[in-house]
Amino acid sequence: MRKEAAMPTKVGFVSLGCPKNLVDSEVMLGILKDSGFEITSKEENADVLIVNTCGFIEPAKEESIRHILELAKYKEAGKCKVLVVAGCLAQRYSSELLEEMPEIDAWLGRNMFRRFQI
Amino acid sequence: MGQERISHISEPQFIYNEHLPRLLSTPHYTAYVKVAEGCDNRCAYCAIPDIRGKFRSRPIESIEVEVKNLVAKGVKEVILIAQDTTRYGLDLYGKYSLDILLNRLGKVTGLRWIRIMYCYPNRFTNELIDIIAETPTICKYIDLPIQHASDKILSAMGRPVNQEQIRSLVKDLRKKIPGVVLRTSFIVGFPGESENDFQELLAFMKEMKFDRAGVFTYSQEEGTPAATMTDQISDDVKQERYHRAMSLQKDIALAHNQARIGQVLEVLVEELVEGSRNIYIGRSSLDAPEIDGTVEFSSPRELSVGDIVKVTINRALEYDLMGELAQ
Repeated sequence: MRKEAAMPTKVGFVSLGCPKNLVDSEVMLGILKDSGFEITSKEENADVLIVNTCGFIEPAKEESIRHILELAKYKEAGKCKVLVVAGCLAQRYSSELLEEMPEIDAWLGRNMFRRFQI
Repeated sequence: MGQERISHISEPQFIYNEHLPRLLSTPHYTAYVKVAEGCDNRCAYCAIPDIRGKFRSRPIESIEVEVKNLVAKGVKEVILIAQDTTRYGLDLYGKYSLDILLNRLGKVTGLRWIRIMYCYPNRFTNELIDIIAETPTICKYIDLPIQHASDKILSAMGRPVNQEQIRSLVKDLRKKIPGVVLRTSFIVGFPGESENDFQELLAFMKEMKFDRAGVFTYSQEEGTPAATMTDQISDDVKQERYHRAMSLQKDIALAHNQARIGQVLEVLVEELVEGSRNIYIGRSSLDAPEIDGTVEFSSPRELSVGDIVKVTINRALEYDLMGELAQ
């Protein structure tokens, strides 16, 4: 996720789960914006798509997987080059996701924030 | 594409601070503030401690500065959250310090509502009860997940309290904080929950009459002690118990709401009903966003979203109230 000088990289963001996760999402968005990324609500226009997942109980995990697959479609149908999975599902199931979901380009666990500040 | 795949997963240690930028996604008048991260409880059903790491509090000053900054941006309601909010401060200050934090936040000029979510029944200190009762800006609303009421199940869940302790706390809260609204949550279908255990829960719900309650069916989570317990409950039984508990709670909630008729509540204006000129939807200080009800009311004068007004309640549904702007 390098900064482009001319055209800012557009980031689409989906936050799932509880208010605690929402605060994490808001901090990630703040860091992204301050680092020069443009935040877009139109997923089809995003260069990077990030989903901040919940991994608490079964229905939440299913919802997270559904959103990952949904967003992965924009790698074909949209402009998305990088699909990032962050948050609790990534923290809890990184090796399973790595193996079973080739759509995902990057995982950020619960210490993700330091990486966002690069 | 053949690009390199990147993985950054490590032991969770991070907690944000007031210096990090934050892009609020909630309406302009409300913000969540996380006072701590992680969890040191070991409830048998829960994977959170493994996901979010050990409990770690933010310093009081960090939270206070963040809240003041939020208020300066127009936030009127701050919702304090953590996995275990009542444990706040134990790691940093050697004692439960939520009351000290609340005392400081209660003095922040311009902050109208302070709401506290995710309290643990065994960590509700007298100091905490007193500060909630005494501070006008702290919502008289307590979210106190108890998960069950049968001592057998509470113990199997690894919960730190029994039914009698919960009963005594509920009585104490209602006595010392007049008019307090209590929200809780229950898990039905935990391994080994017999029909008798479940009926004990229903009886306790009837007795305690929690103003609001969320009911969840038990989810078997790998890596947790409960996942390998032998007497797992079938999905059918879980569903059936879920519906029975929800149906009971609906009646309790309706009775609570009907008792509000004639009362005047503080309501935060959230939207103008589409197509109307003077009908607004708001949320009272006794309702948290997303999970609780709303108040629909008429107003003879124009209001702005984010205003806090007084509304006289004149109709009640199970989860929502209706009324008119108080004169």
